Amino acid sequence: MSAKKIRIYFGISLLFLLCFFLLNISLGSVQIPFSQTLKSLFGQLTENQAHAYIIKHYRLPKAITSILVGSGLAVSGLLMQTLFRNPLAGPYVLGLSSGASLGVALVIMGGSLFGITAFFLSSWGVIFAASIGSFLVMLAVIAASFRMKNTMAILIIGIMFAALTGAIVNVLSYFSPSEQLQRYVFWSFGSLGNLSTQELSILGLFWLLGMILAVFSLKTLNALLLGENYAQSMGASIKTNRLLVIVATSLLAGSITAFAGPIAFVGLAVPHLVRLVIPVSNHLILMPAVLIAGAILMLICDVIAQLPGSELTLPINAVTSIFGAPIVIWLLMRKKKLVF
Amino acid sequence: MNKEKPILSVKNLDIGYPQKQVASNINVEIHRNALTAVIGINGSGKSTFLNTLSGNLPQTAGEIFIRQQPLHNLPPRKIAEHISLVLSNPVYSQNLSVYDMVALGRQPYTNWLGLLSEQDKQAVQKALQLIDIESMAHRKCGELSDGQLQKAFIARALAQDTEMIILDEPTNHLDLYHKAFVFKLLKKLTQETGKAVVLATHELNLALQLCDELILINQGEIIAGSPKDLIQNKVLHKLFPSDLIRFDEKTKSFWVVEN
Repeated sequence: MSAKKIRIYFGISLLFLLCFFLLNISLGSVQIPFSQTLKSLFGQLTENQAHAYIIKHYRLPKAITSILVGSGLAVSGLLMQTLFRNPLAGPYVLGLSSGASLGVALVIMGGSLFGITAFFLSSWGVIFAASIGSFLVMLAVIAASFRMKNTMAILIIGIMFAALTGAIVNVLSYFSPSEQLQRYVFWSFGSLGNLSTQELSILGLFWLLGMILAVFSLKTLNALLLGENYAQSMGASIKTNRLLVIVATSLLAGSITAFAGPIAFVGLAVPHLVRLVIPVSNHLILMPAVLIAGAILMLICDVIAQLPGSELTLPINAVTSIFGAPIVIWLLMRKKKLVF
Repeated sequence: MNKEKPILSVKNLDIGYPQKQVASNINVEIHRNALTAVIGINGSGKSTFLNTLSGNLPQTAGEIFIRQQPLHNLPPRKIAEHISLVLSNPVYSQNLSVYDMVALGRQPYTNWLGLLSEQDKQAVQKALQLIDIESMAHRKCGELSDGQLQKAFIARALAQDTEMIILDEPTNHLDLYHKAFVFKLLKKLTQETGKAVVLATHELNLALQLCDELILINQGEIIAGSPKDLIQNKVLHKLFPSDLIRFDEKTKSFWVVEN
């Protein structure tokens, strides 16, 4: 693919990002004229103070969350797919979301069992539990990665962690009262809209750290397209790079799961969608392309989840899969082969 | 005996795994301009030997020196400036273009992002020219035949600009024409560029015809020498059970015994 075509692709995708960002902010259960949306975004006085308030304190943080969540998950999916050279890998293959789920399940459903105080049942408590859960799983996976020579074994260990924690969550669900079970189920649906400015800045910080580490892994990820032995023969340090990628993914996917719940599909699908549209394998091009595409997809899913014009909202986790999966299936059927 | 200092020398080397010794007390030298074939039956330890030489596998005893430096002291980055590899594993990315794949060979010299400098681009171009695959530089690896792909891998190793190239069974899956083509190409490279090329192969007849040196691994024992030496010492006669395959000195080749 020529450099010119790639520039055009990035131009168009950035334009799409801007359009869907504005669309995302201007639509919602309260109808706000587009001109007012723009005015309040640029800090000008608007006729309706309530509208300005909604945009500034509710819709703008939600749109930014969508961008951070979509891009973060998509980039971690790309990193995992190349690290494991497996098209089925996604941000959660290392068991991060299951670790987070277990943490959250323990505080919400195991609360009465362990005599957990009110702090843990607040939103910060849930975030804290999810972070600790995914952090512990990350430590276990990193420990495994130091012992293992074979990267595929780490993938399987991640899946085993997911099965194990899933089983514990099942046992907790089985014994918990319906009210607590419902609260856990609601968390597992994922949510983009409940973040305070403070929470959003913490998420943003983790996102930035994860992305910076990801950039440092790009050169070796390119070498890994030929396999680990080749990468090493070209001077790459396999174990250091593996650690770098695992930490970057944990920062991105772990913090996203802590703040927005376990959001499925995006991380797995976006790298494939991007590869179908621009057939390149160079991660210096793929990473920014996947980052932008993930953000766009999440903004679109969030617009759909709000069901514009109605007062209902759908769980974001359902929307990403219901609308995303058929698109990926359709694209794959049309192209007739999986490019990886 | 070659008076010039060897690129790589192996002293009393044992190869294998913690539980399984593959071969011991290996002493070999690899010189410039030489095409060396590592031969032996399936499971004799050819790949283990090459993996140890390239630093992918730790030696169990003895020492390997690259330009007088002990190999096990060198980080992968330094080894990559001396030895490049052509392996027999598949390409994972179908989207990778031949040019990008060859350009990956420049990784030991590129910056932290892997961006190509003008010098890197020239090296890639030169490698494509040497192997005569400039016309397919922009095709995807997923679209190539096995023969074309092998050429691209050899070009990648050339772009890495090392004194030595190690190839693990580079003629697997190739037809007779392409097998001979790859051998001739490697021979030409050693003569024109001065590189040392070491390859593991099952193509004994081609190796006997075209290689300068042979390293035979047979039941944990290593015998190295020119094809002529190995024929004179009659070591090739014992390589396979004689009721099925015999070695003919006149034609310098192996033949199936007809009943």
